[in-house]
Amino acid sequence: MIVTVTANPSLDRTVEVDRLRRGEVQRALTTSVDAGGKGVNVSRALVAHGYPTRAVLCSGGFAGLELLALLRETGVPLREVPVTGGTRSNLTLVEPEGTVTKLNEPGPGLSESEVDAVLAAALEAIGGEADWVAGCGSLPPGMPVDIYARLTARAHELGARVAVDTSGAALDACLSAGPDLVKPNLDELAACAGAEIRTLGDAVKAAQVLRDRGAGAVLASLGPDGAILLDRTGARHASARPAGSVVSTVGAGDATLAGFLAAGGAGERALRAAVCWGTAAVTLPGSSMPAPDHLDRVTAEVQRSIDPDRVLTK
Amino acid sequence: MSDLITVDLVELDLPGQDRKAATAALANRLAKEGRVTDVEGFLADVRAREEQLPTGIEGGIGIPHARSAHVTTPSLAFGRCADGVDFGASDGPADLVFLIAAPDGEGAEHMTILASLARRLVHDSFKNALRTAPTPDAVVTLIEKEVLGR
Repeated sequence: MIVTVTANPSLDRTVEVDRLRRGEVQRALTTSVDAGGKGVNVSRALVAHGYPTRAVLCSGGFAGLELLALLRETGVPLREVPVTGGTRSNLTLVEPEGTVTKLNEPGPGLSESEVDAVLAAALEAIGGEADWVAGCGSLPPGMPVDIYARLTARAHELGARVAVDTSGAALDACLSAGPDLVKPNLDELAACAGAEIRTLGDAVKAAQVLRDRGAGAVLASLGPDGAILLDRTGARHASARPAGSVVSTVGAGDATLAGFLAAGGAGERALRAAVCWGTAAVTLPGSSMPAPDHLDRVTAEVQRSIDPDRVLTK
Repeated sequence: MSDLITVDLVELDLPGQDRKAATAALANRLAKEGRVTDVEGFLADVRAREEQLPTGIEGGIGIPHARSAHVTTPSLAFGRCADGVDFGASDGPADLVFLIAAPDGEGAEHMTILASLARRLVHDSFKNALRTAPTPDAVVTLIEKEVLGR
């Protein structure tokens, strides 16, 4: 069983306008609402593949109720932590020629007791039976940056392995607690290691910095260049070709993490699954997570010897 | 249209040596019913998919499957294997094996079945019911109710 923790989920509104004009009142062409949240996405992908999971998330206000209602439709078992502040709404403005503008709210401020409630809910969901707990996403205001470090320490006491997918200070702060896996993307990896990443070799070196600071393994998602996995046995690179054209990269990193954990959470087999799931996700609209049949036409390759000079696409 | 699964496509005592034997036993049932025209060709397609990414799911499940030119009718064969067969799941061998066969080029049928089957397998009650179903008939009734929503 895989428990996910999303401290700062969101109600994602996507609004289409013909052209965004600052300072004017405009009518939207279309509008849609989706449940957002990295851990929630991981759980959605797992459920679609028949893996037992439970999503722990904060929820407050009307946006929180709407979020929970949307999530119940997906069949993900939920453990919600009620909070006083309202769940955030993130707004995506899409213009027909492809320009996307995103306005992400910071999220509700949490009190100390609400922070404790999140941790308690996560530990309760782990119980004695979860193999993995994944702490995912940014932190709302008031959430201490060491929350993932605390989660790591407590989950380890319960015998669960810990994956952390976050950025900035929260990522920095979790490393010393020794999470079994961290899953930064290219930008997050570069920022955390304090290094510029141009090549695969740079990415491996940066991942080594994270390992030196305490991470057991580093799964770095590299967009169109696939992913690298650095663990105690060394580095591997995997990439996959999507079966169709790229529709939306939103949530692809979450599908990558889900695939990795579903395939056991370690080693080459998990890396292969990770890039297959992530690559399948980019051919699906919005933050849709891949189902098993979406993996059928993805072909992946795993390289045990990494070409350090390979220049990354981005 | 033919039913996706019938009692003739259920085997409650699959050979447990390996993945190949278990899959072949189910594929032969498909061939016997005229749903697969070339067993070897179909099995090669299934193997190719399996090599790309194992189809084992945590909790004792294997779902080998393929879209194949050797399939005439979308079909689901089910087998139970007391000894377990390795389908590459991280927690060990599978005792419940679903073989899904879809004609090449027919996306939708293949997709809905595989996706809805996987979603149902989250539930222990469904897996346990499959493990304890006394007859092929009971298995068919169960799958039609839980997966096909009949």
